[in-house]
Amino acid sequence: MKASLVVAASLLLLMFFSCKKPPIPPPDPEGELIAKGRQLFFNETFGGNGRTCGTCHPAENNFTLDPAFIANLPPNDPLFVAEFIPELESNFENPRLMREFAMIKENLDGFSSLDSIFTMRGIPHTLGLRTTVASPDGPRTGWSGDGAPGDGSLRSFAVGAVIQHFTKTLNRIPDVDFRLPTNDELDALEAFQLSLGQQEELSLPLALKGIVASRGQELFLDSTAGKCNLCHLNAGANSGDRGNANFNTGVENLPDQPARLTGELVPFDNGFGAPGDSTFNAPSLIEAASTGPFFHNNSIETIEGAVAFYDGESFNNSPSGRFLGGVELDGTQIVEIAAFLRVINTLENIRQIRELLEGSLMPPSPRREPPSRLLELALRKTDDAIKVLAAGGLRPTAVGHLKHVRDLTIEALKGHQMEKRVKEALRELEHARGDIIV
Amino acid sequence: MKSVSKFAIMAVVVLFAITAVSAQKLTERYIPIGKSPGLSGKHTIIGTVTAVDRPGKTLTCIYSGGSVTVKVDKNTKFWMDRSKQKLTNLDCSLGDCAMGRTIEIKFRNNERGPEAVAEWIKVEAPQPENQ
Repeated sequence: MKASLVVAASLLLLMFFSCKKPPIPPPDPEGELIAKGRQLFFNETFGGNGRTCGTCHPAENNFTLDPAFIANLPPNDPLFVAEFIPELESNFENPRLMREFAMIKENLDGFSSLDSIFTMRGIPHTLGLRTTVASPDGPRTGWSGDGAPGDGSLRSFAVGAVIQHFTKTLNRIPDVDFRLPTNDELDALEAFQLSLGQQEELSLPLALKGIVASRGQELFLDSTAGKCNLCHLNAGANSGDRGNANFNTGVENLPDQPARLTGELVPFDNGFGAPGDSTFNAPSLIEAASTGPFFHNNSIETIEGAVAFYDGESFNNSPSGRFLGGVELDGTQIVEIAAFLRVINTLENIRQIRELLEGSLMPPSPRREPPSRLLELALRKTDDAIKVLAAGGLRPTAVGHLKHVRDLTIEALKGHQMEKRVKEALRELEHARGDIIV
Repeated sequence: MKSVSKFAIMAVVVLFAITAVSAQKLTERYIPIGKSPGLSGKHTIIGTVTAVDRPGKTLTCIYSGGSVTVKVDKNTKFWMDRSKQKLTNLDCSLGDCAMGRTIEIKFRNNERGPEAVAEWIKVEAPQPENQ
């Protein structure tokens, strides 16, 4: 009797735990490739000087760098290798321009004279690449659209980056100063990068609630006023059927560029090709408001200043400006277009925050990092969204909701009723969104 | 989207779109022969130099598919691949493409034929005599 009770109890326990076993998720090869790419992107040094892709493209800062973020890095961060590796202290970076203006050195016109032939550029973010690389003329990567060696593809970009930025010495010898990524690693890095940010273009116009941003959208789309949509279709990086095109907008002719005010050598940047043709690649504008400073040379700090550039002499005297018949915008109109860019950036941030918060509640998947990491990133992006709106004096009600999202996310991170807090944060996020768009 | 004439858009892109199909990032210099991502094994030729015409600015090599003569111009990049000797790669010139040397040729716009021009040529450095 006792034995049969034990057997029955055992069977009951076995049935209970069998029922409680979570279902085995289906295979997800793409997710696994993305996970591998993520691991490589943030951790693999390719046998070089200690830098990773994430050194210059940190997830915490929208996959780009700006002086404020750099200022909070520890002095031994691999970004600063030119300051503590003797073999790199000359002709590898310019530490002053890096720290003050987030500029890095690129030898885009060759490596024959490292002390005089180079460009100083900002670091482009790696968001939304699925919509910003392709063009009928071939893939366009980097500020001048010619960022990658080999076939010029996003997949090949990492090879050039390792050679330029990861090397232990200026000799740049494979298997001595670095190792080249393998084919499998290139596949994984590409998959990860393509998974970042928006996966499809917007379809303008959006039904925005704020009158300032709405007017900005009208000006943006007006081919007789802002004319922005001609080169940034749907506020993206593409120009109609031409895809991601290059333009000579005269940015290099801007006077008083901050980096040049220092007296440091900043050679003229002639853009695409070697010899260059002075064109640069059009970036997407959806991420713009939270990824300044702007243009390839980080010459303008604010989104309002970036819009105002198109009202200035450098643009209007450029080939692009002359062809368009010039752009004439008054102060209020500049602010209105900037407000539109701030608002669409916030909507994209909200979309990403939602993904991160929802992801933190889902079962583990190779596509996603652990819940705590997702919540940390959600917190960062929420701070971003608050800053972008508040700096433009826009949508204070939405800002209020976003602040609640932030507070709830902090509570969730502490582990205080995490699921409940995240669900509340998601509701607040929808309220924020509802204040911005119909 | 507010209507923008397709002509306006096409006019903009025709006038401003770059005409060069590709612009090689010059980190290519440090990539050993046969390792160019997306190019080696697909769009380049790896072979042995059989003839060099410096005044005529042409180079001939044999490879697995036969023989090819390619033109070079002022924009053709030449690089000496010294990676096997664990030395840094260097800029070089047509004159360094000696008979019998292993080379890799990337054709401009990936176009072959009698008028083909090399976008870049990598030439393997000679091995030191004591190796």
